[in-house]
Amino acid sequence: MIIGKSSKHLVGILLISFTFSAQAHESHTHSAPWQVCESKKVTEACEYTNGEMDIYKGTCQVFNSALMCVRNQPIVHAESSTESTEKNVSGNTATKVN
Amino acid sequence: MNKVTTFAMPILSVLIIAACGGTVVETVDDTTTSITDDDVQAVDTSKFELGTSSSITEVSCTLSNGESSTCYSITINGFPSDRTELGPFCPTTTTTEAVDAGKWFDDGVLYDLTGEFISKLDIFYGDSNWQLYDENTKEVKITDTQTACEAAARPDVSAEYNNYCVQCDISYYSDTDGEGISSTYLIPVTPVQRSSAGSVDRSSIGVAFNGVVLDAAAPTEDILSAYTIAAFDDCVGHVNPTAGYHYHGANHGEGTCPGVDFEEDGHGGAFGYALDGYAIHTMLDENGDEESDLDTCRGHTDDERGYHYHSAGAGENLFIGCFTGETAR
Repeated sequence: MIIGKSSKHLVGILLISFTFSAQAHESHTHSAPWQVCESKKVTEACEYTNGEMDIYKGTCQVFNSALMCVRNQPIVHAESSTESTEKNVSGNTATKVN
Repeated sequence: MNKVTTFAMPILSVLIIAACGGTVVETVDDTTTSITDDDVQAVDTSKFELGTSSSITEVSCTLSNGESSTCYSITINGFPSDRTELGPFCPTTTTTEAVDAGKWFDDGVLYDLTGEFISKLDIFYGDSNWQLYDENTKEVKITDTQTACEAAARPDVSAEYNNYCVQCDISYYSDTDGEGISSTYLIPVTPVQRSSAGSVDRSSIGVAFNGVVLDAAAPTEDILSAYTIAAFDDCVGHVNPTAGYHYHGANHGEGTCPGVDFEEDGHGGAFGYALDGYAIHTMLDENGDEESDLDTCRGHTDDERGYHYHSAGAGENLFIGCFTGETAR
């Protein structure tokens, strides 16, 4: 399924209501791993979310003379992220974990 | 420079190497996993199953720290020994299904490059300038000649090939079936740990056991800014005029791409060596789990395998983050 940037708002609403599904795509910037490291230094921690709402955590490393976020932790898939959010919601905590 | 490309195309090489090649390893201010002598395993050349016109010899070499050492000189023919043909890459029409098309990646995800995907790139990227197909015939615009391939498969894409699906045929660069562009790589016989990690930058990462080079990150910004898709096949590989067929990700066991066996203990299987001599294993183990103790280069140590890397996901446009060991100059 392909959903464009206009879906950002929809996803945002779903996030707020804590009912988004793993099928919901956010945006496709095609450069999130690079953008997240633009103002960082080599080996500095980085994190980005892809169009599937999966979370990638790692450190900035040099590729093609630019810094790119290289994941070194397991992908936090949207499904498990949602589960964590729902747990927090039930505990009256509005912060999304992961 | 430890890569010797035997195909000569000087001007184009400068352009393409800027995107997919070159080898200058710079030191990164970083501390990687502490590796003891017991954690270091020598390169096992018996794991390579190279094709015709390939060879592995032992040679003297100088490592990136300036020390003399012994390396394997691995010459590959540039065609995967475990396959008989490459592709498919670009879909031919907007109705082409996944089985007849290749792949594209975006922000860590590997997508089927179907005709539908091509037809919705404007939505996908939120830019109405995307139009890789003929509105009337529904045929996808593909670089289907050597001239078109070489004008489009480079960072400064020729304007006339904006809005093209880019693919190059390996037959443009080899007259022999089952062979591509020959290249030679030096890998230390026994890995030597660096005091701090070395950047990949534009360097190739390593060599797969099937004789295909693992390349640095594809310059997706350049590719997409010209409204082109540099289509991959199921193995996340594609052809360019200088590197020939090369990988930008690891995707084993899907479609036309052969699988990699897990290790006996269920650990992710090895599919190649990095240029510092440490093995590169698949991302997942037999249970579908990732390792949780990887260092910044995506390596870790265990009793069975010593220090080794685990490749990133197929859609992440990389294999490892940096070099833990010295590479050859």
